[in-house]
Amino acid sequence: MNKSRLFKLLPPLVWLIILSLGWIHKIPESFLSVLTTAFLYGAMATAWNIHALSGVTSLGHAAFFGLGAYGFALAISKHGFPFWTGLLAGACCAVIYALLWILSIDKLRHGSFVLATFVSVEIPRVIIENVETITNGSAGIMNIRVPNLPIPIPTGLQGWYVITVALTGILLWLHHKALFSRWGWGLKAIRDNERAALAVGVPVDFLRRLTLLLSSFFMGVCGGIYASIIGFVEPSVVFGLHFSAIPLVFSLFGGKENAWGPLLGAIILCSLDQLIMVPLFPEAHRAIYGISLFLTLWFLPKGILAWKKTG
Amino acid sequence: MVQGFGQIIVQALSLGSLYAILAIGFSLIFGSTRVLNLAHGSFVILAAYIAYFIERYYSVGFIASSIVSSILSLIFLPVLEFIGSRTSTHKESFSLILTFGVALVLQSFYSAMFSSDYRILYSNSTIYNLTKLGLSISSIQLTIILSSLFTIIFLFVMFRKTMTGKALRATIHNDEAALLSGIPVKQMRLLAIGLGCFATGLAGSLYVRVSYVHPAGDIEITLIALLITLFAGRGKIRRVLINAWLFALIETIVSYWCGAKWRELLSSLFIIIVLMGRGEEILNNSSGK
Repeated sequence: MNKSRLFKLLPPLVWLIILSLGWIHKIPESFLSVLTTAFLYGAMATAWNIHALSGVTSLGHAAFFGLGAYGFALAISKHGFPFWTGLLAGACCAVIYALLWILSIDKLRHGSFVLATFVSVEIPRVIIENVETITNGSAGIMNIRVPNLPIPIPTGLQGWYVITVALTGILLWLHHKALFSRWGWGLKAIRDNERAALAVGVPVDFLRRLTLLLSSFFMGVCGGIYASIIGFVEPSVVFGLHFSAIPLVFSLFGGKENAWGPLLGAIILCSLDQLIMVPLFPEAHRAIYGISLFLTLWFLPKGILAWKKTG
Repeated sequence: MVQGFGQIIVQALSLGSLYAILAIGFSLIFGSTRVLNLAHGSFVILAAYIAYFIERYYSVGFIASSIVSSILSLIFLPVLEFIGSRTSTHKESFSLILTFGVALVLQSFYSAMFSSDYRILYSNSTIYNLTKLGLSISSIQLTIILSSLFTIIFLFVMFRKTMTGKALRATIHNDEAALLSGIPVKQMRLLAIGLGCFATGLAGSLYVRVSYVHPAGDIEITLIALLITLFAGRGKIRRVLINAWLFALIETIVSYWCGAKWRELLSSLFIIIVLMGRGEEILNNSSGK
């Protein structure tokens, strides 16, 4: 086996080792909890970045996350769906909202697009708060009881760890494709110069819409997993500024144009948040995300992995 | 029926006046720096907290608390000036992301400082009955309408009649041309931001009288300011007031027919419609391209 093949096998191997930690019972629960949160946020950041690679910035992915969480919670609590079908239902809600984006704000660019996405989070939030008969309004849906999973994974926190790591693995593979495959090069062309990309035959609209749909689907899945871990959903939480901010912060911090960037950003910042900020400033710990955003934009505009060439 | 409609107009006038004062600071800052400040709501919330605590713990009246909160709101001047000066060399998305970050930090800061409790300033409001018209108006509504009118008229007269105001208008309209004609653009920009911050402070002290203030309550304010400014265009003082009244009228009618709960949906839908219609035009002009 030559060196380059061995090098290609390294990431999946590392991944399997990280995944297998979920079956080791001696790992402290607090450590596993931080890792689970970091991987969930890493998955969100990677999903967000797949769309951002088409040259746009979204401040509205909390809409997909919230819809995924609510779709899942309603499917499980009110209709008794199995876990995986519930996740799919939540993801479908997010994709439907992404289709509405395509129908309405698809032609907007730059600042207009950023603003429109920022504003669009409020629409599903207000609707969900007001359709009380179905969604319980602003009180949210409590006690989401997740049925046992029909796969051989551990129960409790270890199970959530395995699921989030597996999801992040799928997203990392997709993210890698979005950077280095044939359609990934198309996305790079769009990022660099949309008109030039169109002129050389890159299907600009198709690729941008495809990345939005993929991104929204996985954001919805993340929302569903979040709802099942936390056990309740509330509009002000799942559609909050926080969930629009963290994918952006992690991706920028880790490096948008590196396959591992968003995940690395999530692992570093989430660990800092959970291990240092939460004990020191329990009420203001989320300020770290805003502060990291400034520091990144000022000092590391291409992220901490900028030194590593992306090819 | 006529009386009911008259009362809706009174309600819309008062709500629209509040919206105008919420938007005028945003509009001035956007006009002079091209920064679409997504942290505007957070600035108003801070001013509202300042007014709340001053009135509660020092037993002072509206005028004193609004002056103090307006002056203290000037602490945002260097932040906005800094972001504004950076924006001129970056894409417009940069200022949006940066001010989004400011909003995040401030939200966390407010949670730590003031807790997540909802706060409002209750005061004994006198009701004035206009018996011939069958209408009534409270002293708080009157205060809001008069404060808003006073601020807008002051700014309008300043922009139209004074040399400084004219220089300010020129800077907002085209800063490069203003610079070529000898206007000290940087000072004018600072003045506009200062006025914007001052108006934001006043808005906060009015807002806390009619609405609950809490750390996460900034988005609604930002959206209203954004909507009115996008409709009005850059540096259009009168249009800010007229658009605020119009929007408040639509909102009051919708609340009357569909229930107040659906009110919040309107601003989001309107902003998306404006952006779809003339978003590129407004923002491209704002980038000075």
